[in-house]
Order: sequence, then C-alpha cells, then structure tokens
Amino acid sequence: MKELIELLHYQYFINAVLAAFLAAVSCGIVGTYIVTRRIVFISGGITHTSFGGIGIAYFLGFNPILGAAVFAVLSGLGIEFFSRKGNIRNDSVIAMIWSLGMAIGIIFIYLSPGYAPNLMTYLFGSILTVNRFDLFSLLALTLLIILFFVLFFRRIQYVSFDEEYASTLNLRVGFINYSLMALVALTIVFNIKLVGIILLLSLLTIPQNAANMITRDYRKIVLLSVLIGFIGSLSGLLISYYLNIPSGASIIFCLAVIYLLLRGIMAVRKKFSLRTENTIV
Amino acid sequence: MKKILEIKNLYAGYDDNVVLKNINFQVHERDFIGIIGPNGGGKTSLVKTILGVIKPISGEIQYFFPGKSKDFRKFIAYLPQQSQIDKKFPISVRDVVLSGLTSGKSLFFRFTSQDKKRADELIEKSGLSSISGNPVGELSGGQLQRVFLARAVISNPILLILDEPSTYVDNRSEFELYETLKELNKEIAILLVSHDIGTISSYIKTIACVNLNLHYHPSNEITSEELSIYNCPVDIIAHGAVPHRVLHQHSK
Repeated sequence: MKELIELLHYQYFINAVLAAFLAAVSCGIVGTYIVTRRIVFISGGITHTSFGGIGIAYFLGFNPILGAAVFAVLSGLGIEFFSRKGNIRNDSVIAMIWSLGMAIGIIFIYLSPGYAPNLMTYLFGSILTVNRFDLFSLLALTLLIILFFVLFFRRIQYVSFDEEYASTLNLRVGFINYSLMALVALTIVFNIKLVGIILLLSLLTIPQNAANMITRDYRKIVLLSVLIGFIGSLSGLLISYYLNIPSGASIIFCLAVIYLLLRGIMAVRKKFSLRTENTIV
Repeated sequence: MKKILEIKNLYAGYDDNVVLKNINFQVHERDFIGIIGPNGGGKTSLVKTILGVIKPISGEIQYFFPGKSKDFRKFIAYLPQQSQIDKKFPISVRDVVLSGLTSGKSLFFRFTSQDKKRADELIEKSGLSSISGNPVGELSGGQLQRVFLARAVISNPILLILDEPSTYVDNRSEFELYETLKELNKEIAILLVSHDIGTISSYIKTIACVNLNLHYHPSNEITSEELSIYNCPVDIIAHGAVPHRVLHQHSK
C-alpha cells in the first residue's frame, strides 16, 4: 500500500492513471456503438490503416499521432463512403485498406534515417510514456464524444437499430453515420499510445461485451463498459509496473480475465436460478 | 372522399435503372389499397418514393396534408418488411415505439411526457404492457410486428403503408394484424403491399398492380385475365387450393 502511494508521487504514473480513465470513458462509449452496430471489423481496419499515417509523419518529422489522425479519419470516411456507394464488397475494402496502411507505415519508417526506437510504442502501446499533449488531446476528444452522445443519443440508437426505417423518418442518417465514423477514428488514434494498434480493438470490445452480459439497456452498457474498462486498465497498469511487463498487454489481459470471471458468474447464477425454479415447481 | 396523395407521370429508380415508369396514382381518405405485383416489379420502390427516400427521376408526388409540404413525412406511417432486425441490439419495446415520433422533431429533440404517455397507451392497447421495458430481441415475430405497427401509428398518421407484413408471422398474428388494420381503416387510408392477393382480398377495397407500370383496379376482386392484361404476373394459384374461390369470393 505504501508503495502504491509512493507511486502517486511520480507525475508519469498520475498521467498514466488519468489516461487510463479517459481511455475507459472514450472507448467505453465509442466501443458500445461499434459493438452494437457490428462494425468491429471496420474499426480494426481504421486502427491498422492509421499506422500508414504514423510512418509518413515519422518520415517527415511531424507528430506521428497527427499523421495517424489524418489516415484514420480518411480511411473511416472512405470505408463508410465505399460501402454505401461503391460497387464492391465491404469486408474486402476493409482488408485492402487495412494492409495497405500497414505497408505504407512500414515503408516510410524503413526509409526514415536512423533507428526507429519508439515504433514498438505505436504497435503495442506504452501508457507510462503518456505526456501532457496526449492527455489534453484525449480529454478534448472525450468531452466531444460525451457531448455528441448526449445530444444525439436517440438518433444514434435509432439509426444503429434500424437504419432503413430511420432513413424513412429522415433522421439525418448520413450525418449520424459520418460523424460517428470520424469519432470512432479519432478515438482509435488518441488511444493508440495507451495500448497500441494491435491491442486497441480489445478496449473497444471486451468491456462492452462483458457489460452486455449483465444488461441489455444501451445506456447501462455504456456506463458499465466505462467502469469495467477503467478497472481493467488500472489493474493492468499496476500489474505491468510490479511485474515489469508491457502495459498494453497486461491491460488487455486484465480485461480478458474480468470478462471470463463475469461469464463464469453469469453461468453459475443461471444454473442456480434454474435450480431454485425447479424446487419451487 | 378527399384526395390525400396524387402521383403524376412518375419515373423512379436506382442510378440508371428505371423501375417505375409513368406512374399515375391517387389515394383518397379511408382507401384500403392492395399493392400487388411480382418480385422486383417495383412495389417497394413505389413505397419508398412515396416516403421520400427515393427521389423521383421525373414526375411529381403531391401530398394533401395539413401544414408545410416539406413536413409530409409526419403524416405517413410505415411498417417496413421485417427482415434485418439485429436481435441482439439493446433497445426496449418502449423506445422502439417512441421512435415513430421522431419525424419532424428538431435536431436536438427530447421526447415530451406527452409522447411517452401516448407510447404507453399504444403499448397497452397492443397487449405489450408487461414487456414494455424488455429488449425487442426477446420478442416473437407476432409481438415484434405489433411493436412495429405501434411505432408506425403513434404519430397519428393520415396514411399507413405496410410492406409485406405477413412474411415472418404465424397465421394467428396475421389474422389479428388484418383485423387491426380493418379497425384502423375507419380513420386512416392504408396501402398494403403484398405478393399474396389471396389472403388480403377480403380486407382491401381496391387493387393496384405494379410491374414497371401501375394499373389501378377499382375493386377487391381480380381475375387472371385482368392480371395478364395489366401485365402483372402474380402467382395466385400457389396461395390457394381452389383459386377461383379466392378470386371470386362474392360471385361464385
């Protein structure tokens, strides 16, 4: 315990805790949208495509996150556009953009002079190196997401549930779809530094699916996802510190453990409630 | 009877593909029109054009509704084909019914307590009160259809459009639905899209055959000869062992 309090004296550790909280909130909300809308694969495409932006920004000497943001938003809107208008298979488009983004990233990082030591940060994340810029951009994004979901909650829910009917009601389906795709892309980009490109998808899906086991109410899924995401990130952070293992991986591992625990509890409860029902009969 | 909708010289379709050609069609108050025709004949496209989802290539649709003409959608209720509902999507029965009220609301709308009261009344009427808070994924086909019908009529429409409502429900629910429609038809005009003319013929008042063109038939009885004149190949024999009884119910 004493050691834990001592940890809080370190700015980098406080930053990491704050980042974990903001990640839990932003990924909790956006992830609920992704999971219920069944666009997890699209999100995977956006995540990996953003590596192309990281590579180019790295080559040109910009902040890699800005490059990633441009690539992620463009790929998100591109996928949305082509899956609607283009005469092409949706999942194939995603796979092509996915691998093309990774290829561009690798080419440009290879072309950059000198060694690329923090490449691993983007692939696997490193929550302990989060700086003020990362925190503030994540905070701004999180506030934007909360605002958007509070203002348009009904529209988001109705468009996700029954897009065709929503379009007959003139619910501004296009506006909702494109704005959310941009938000998904930005959420992915600003969380890359925390858990990395390869592991990010789990922060957007594990808490939501765990929450969905407990409730089938959209708002409660969002709140529970945030809670589960935060518990998972925080415990993963501590474990990574004590065992000296990469933080991204330990966060994902903790989330998976929470998910499996909840699954087990739900299974036991179901069995138990069945048994009591039987005894009543 | 007052005219509520008039379509004049309408051409509509997707991209370069014209699926509706020179359509002229009128709907009056308390009409109950069966829209029949072969699959791919343009029935659903006609419905979507009336709903304003598909923009006409040429020609026009006039709505004789109160208020501003751009708010026409508020007065048309729609029960879509029941096919692609995500059974796992987290949304309650009540929220689905409420969604029928969103048309014409401002961008940042909230439902009023009046909206919610109206939803609860309709849910009660549909016999769904006990499952009002349940996720729609838990419902049976018949229950789901009652939810969608409540969602359609919650806005107090002047015109109700149903697209193949009997596809995913059992016979009992289908019968109940048509009885409900009969009741609703005392106040609302109804367009019922169906490929199955047999079942609906005793409920509808008139028929519109849609197959690229539209032929209006001012009676609820139609013969095979007439269908072939209208170039409207509907598979009538498949839907009844004694097709002539189905076709000439009152003139045997």
